[in-house]
Amino acid sequence: MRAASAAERRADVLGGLGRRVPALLAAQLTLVSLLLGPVGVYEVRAGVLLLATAGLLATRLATSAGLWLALAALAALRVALDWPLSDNHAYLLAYWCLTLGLAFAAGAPEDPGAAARLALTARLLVGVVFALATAQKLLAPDYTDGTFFRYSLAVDGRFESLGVLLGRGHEELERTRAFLDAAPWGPPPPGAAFEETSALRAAAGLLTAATLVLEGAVALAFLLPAGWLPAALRDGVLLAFCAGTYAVAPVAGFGWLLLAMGVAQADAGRARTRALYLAAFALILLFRELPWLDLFAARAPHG
Amino acid sequence: MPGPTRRSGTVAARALPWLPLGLLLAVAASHAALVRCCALSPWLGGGFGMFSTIDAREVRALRGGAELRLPRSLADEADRAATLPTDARLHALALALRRQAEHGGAPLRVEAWETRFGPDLAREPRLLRSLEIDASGERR
Repeated sequence: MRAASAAERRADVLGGLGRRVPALLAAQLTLVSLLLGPVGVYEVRAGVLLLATAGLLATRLATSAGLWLALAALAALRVALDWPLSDNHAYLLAYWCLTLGLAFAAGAPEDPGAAARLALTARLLVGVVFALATAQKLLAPDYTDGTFFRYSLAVDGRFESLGVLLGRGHEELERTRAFLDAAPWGPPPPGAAFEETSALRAAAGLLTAATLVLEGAVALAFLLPAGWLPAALRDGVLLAFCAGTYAVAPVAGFGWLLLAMGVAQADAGRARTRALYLAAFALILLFRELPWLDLFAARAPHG
Repeated sequence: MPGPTRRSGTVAARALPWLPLGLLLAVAASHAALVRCCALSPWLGGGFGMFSTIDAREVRALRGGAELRLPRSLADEADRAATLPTDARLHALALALRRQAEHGGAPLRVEAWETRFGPDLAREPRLLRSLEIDASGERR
């Protein structure tokens, strides 16, 4: 009998995970994300970590309504304690934990009715979140004219390596940041000035358009009913968004949450699609832990 | 025939799965209202406006009086007040600043500013809100 090759064994591992019941897999991915990116202040964080660990160690707990409702309460408490400083994915985490809690209270993860309700809520949550994000971009003049990304490429540390790759050296960046970060009630310090290359300007335009198109596509795909063309592209556009966005701006917690919700709404008969979601989950972890842009930036002539 | 309790139980069971979505929409609506009425930063507050505008916490700044620096101990309150500069938050911050030994008793003015940028990245600073308290801590 022929021994399985390493590639076949890897495919089998991913396929095996992909064959898992979608609701269970979505719950487990959410728990993993909570362990990889702990959230909240001390008391909240301790509770979240304990519950996530327990859920991962005991499969029955991973699909327990009580565990998810407790996590939802902790996530909501985190938002309340931090108000109004919580990032948006802190809110989404609370909605998603509540969704899982209500779904598991209604039936076991294998129950078709409960699974269908979970899939519908997951799909609509993703769709509405992306619709809100798209609408706010369309309504913001400083987004549509490209100013937002020109500014962000300079001040946001997550884009620093990209800026170096596109020709803005450290000294130019310092002068630019001194200009952008100056206190509003006074003039910028001497020597401060906004400096950018034509490549950076072009990149800002490209990022502005690409983000808008991709987020709008996710919103349409997830909000339009099955049978419409965009709906057939749901998994593809969400995976493309996560793989593309979090390669440049590693906000891993948000990406993992979206992927867990994507798994929950994906067609239960498509193990390969779920395997792709798992691969994207691992990819975001790699983007976070191995900042690949930094490696290129270090070799750039301006770096 | 099902009684009212059973019927209301069925309605609740049908409505419950929509609760997360309802909360998302309600919080997003409150976010939109707070952005309009109270200068909440569009990045925060559950409206999913992150990466949509420059108007994040980083372009907001507070100052207490002409020469008064915000101490590190008030950084958290200052962050909240800069993000959502309501009168209540600015008043609380002004009172906390007034309690600092070197400024005890004197009237105090707290200002929340933001720097916007035009299409050519020209700076466009503006005062979002300000509040002044007198020696007794009352708003003037």
